[in-house]
Amino acid sequence: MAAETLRLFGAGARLNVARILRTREQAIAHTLTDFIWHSGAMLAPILVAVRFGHIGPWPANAVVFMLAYGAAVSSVMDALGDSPWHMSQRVGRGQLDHLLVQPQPLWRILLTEGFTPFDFWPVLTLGLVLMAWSSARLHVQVSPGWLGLLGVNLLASIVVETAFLYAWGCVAFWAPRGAEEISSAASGLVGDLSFPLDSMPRALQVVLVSAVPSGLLSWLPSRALLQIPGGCAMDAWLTPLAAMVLGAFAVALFRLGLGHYRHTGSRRYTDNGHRR
Amino acid sequence: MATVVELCGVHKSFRRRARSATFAGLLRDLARPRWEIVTALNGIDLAVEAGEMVAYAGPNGAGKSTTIKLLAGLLAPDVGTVRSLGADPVRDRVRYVGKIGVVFGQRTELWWDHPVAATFAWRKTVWNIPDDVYRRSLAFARELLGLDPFWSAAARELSLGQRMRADLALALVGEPQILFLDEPTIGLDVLVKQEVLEAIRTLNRERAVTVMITSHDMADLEQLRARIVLLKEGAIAFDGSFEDLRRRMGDRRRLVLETDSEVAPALPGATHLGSEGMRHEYAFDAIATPIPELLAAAAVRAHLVDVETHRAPIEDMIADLYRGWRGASSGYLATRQRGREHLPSGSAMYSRPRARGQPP
Repeated sequence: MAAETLRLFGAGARLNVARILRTREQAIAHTLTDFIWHSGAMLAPILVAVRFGHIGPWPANAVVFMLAYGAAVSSVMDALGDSPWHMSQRVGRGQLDHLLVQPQPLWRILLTEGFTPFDFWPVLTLGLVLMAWSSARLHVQVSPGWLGLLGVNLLASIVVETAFLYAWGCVAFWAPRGAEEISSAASGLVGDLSFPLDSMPRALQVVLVSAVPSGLLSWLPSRALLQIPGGCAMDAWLTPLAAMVLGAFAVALFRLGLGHYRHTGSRRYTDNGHRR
Repeated sequence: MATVVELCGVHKSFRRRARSATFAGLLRDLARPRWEIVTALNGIDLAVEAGEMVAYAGPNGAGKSTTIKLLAGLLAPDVGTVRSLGADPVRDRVRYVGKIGVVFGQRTELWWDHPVAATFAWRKTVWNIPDDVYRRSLAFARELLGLDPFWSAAARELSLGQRMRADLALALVGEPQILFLDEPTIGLDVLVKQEVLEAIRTLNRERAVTVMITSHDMADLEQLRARIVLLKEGAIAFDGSFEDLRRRMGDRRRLVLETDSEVAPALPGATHLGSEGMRHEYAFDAIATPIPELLAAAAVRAHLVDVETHRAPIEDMIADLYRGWRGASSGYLATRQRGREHLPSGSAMYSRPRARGQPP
């Protein structure tokens, strides 16, 4: 099963590298654009932290770590290709049919089709380097246990975001036209909030780590990993727990939607965005 | 020959929201939505044998694409069973779809920004096609559909005809046992259409691939010399060969008379369709009104300069048939068809003397 999944990741990676290397100019422009885009998104909170030395209980280097963590999550999400971001488009535009005629389990196709590892390696590299740099400046005791916890939290954050986008994307099973763009809208909701949330009211914090789990994509895991005042030791397991709950919810909802799709099919089809 | 596709008592209907045009109606619909049931398939019984070519036709909304989607594992029937290659297309999807090829004329499986070749390589991986089968089927498909001139071009740069040829070739890679083609010739120019149809015929004739094809273009389907299944409101209204269909619908002919007058003579048993100067065209049924009888009547009524007769285009016949269905169930053609309608499921599947395999 794992070998088959890797094989399909490989097929996606080959297409990805072929697209980037179409021309030399294309390769350079592509890589630079992504790098600048993501670096730019991280810049504002870093500048604020540097200017004031901290944001709330977060020292400047901790803010850098949090943003780097978010960039790493975001880069892996992007590398997973079209599925999470465009789930609702695929369903709403009738493009799920293209996946169902492939002799592979649907989960594997959704996971691997459109895999673009070479698009986002610069951002992933940037994220990992900045995490290493900032944790060194913060004198974090980097032990195998801590690294393991970091890995689990990174994976959990990715699962949380994917599940959140899938759960919203499932609405398109029942409202193909109205909810066609709901996954990308949902991604804006959770992905654009890369700021320490400590100063927010408690009720809002709860919302931001549950119903709209943007706080689980960088803030809460980073706070737990860096032991920023205000959290507790158990916080490091909140994101993995949320990932399991939200993941199970998204899978159940997707299955329900797919069952509905099997009976209603897609009444509309547009190739807009399909395999481009 | 073995039965490879079997639909028994298949019903499929969809719910459609009824919408009002008035503001008050919209508000009312918001509070209490109204739904209409659209019956796409209404008790379909169909069996297709290995190596057969089946043309699946009918007016818009007759249920052609729904049937293809059922057979491709994209939809589940409401009632009845669908079996293809011994599998349930929905339950056994992963195993089953590896053995079939599906082409939807208005959709492409090609990767848009990549060369055609890249999509074929991708398919080899995803379909897990062994090297020898891939090499063999790819060579066959490339030659059959003439892909070489645009093999390295990006899919977005292809013409519609090239795109369709590439999509069809893609479906052939891996040597599928059944090919489901939904409107594969839609939008193609005459030449490309001929090439695609010829490729489908070759595939069926030389490789014994079972083909099930839908199209609005009856002339195309007739050219394939396929067994034709005509759908009417989700039920099979006719199942047989084109020859049989023509016989059943009467030997419809056209008569073109060139006379020395611009006034078209009235001919008993023939309908005047139109005139161009001194050329007058008539439609008639050669069984009801034999040609010698008609010509004799024409000779009496006009001074004949030239005479032509030919078969009515299949398109015209089918258009009449559809008009008959739309108009009244007791219409001319509907009445003629009655003897060939299917028995209910549970009885023998066909009431007709089937023209299995290749028609004459």
